[in-house]
Amino acid sequence: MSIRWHVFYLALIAVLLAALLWQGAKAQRVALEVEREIAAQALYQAIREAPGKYQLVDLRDALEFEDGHLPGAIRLDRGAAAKGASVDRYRRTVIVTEEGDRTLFEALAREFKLAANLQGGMMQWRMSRLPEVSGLTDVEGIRRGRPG
Amino acid sequence: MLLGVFAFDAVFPYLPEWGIRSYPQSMTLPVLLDVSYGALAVTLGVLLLLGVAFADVFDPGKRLDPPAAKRASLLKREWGFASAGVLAGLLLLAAPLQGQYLGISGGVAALTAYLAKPFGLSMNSVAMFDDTTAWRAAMVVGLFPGAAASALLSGSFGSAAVTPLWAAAFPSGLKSRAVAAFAGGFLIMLGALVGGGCTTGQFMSGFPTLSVGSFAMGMTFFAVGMATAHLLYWGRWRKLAEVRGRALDLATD
Repeated sequence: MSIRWHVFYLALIAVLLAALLWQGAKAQRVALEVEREIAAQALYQAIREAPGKYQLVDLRDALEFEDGHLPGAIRLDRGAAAKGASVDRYRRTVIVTEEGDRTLFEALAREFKLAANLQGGMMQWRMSRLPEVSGLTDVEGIRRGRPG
Repeated sequence: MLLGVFAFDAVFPYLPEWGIRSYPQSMTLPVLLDVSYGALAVTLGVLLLLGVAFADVFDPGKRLDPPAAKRASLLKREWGFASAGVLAGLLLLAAPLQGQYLGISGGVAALTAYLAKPFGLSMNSVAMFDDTTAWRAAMVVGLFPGAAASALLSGSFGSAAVTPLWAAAFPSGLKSRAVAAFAGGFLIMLGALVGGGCTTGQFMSGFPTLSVGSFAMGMTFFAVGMATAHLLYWGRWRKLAEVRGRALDLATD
């Protein structure tokens, strides 16, 4: 096969890959638009099916949090930066507030790559009679992560 | 390697303070570039295959390879990269089905924690004894019978104080070999744990997730490995190729 054919095939592959990437970027944009809001019932179903799918960040006070929070939620101080905290800024994250406050959500959502607001917040979660966890959480264990 | 685990465990609580380790971030290329996983994975896969084809055409070491001989059945010899690669790929798929991932260095740390437990010792870096740590420790235990079975089947079972490759390139005694192996084991374990995984965890399990950290770690691992090998075997290429051809009859099936 001559060098011209090699170049032709390489160019063909490059064009196909570029088209694939373009399609992928479009698909991702659409998917991200949909996921800015999540309903309590849908979130509960998702957690039940795959516990690791979402990172749950709770912005309420420590006392409110310990009184009852979503299973596996991490508490973050309101106004605290996500950077440096024991959270994963690149994981799909659901931000939980008392009433699903948009302004509180927007303020923190900028620091996460993929953030969604829990519609109606903790109030809606409770009104839907979904299960809660209460008590202290193993903050040290969360902070450590796990090696290798 | 055990010393490496203990050294890592001793410095583990201070790593975030020193700015070396932070809370693990799942920074992957699809998330970073806003492109769907499938499109990006296929693109990178095609580029990787093109790269391999390119390297195969222009590999300067090829002229030193021994001529291909007739191969025995797969069950009776050592495997090449293709057949072993397919099996490793299936294993990589099987681990997430159990909610886990393959990683040796973290597994060794988990196993060490289990071994230390009866003596009343605990580890900073392995905080919890849960299903994950048990799975990973058990996997490391399973490596030994697995490796023995593989060596017995391929007929390469044997014992040598100094491996043929080392003996040919460095005509030296057991002492220097032992020191080099000890220092190498310590460094690789400590480095892998600080970096969040070894070639198995970062390279094999991390690459398919398109994790940026795994790419950085995997490439550093291999770049430094190649540089070290070039330094050690500097000017001894022909000898190295001869020994490789004789001692490791690796097929390219």
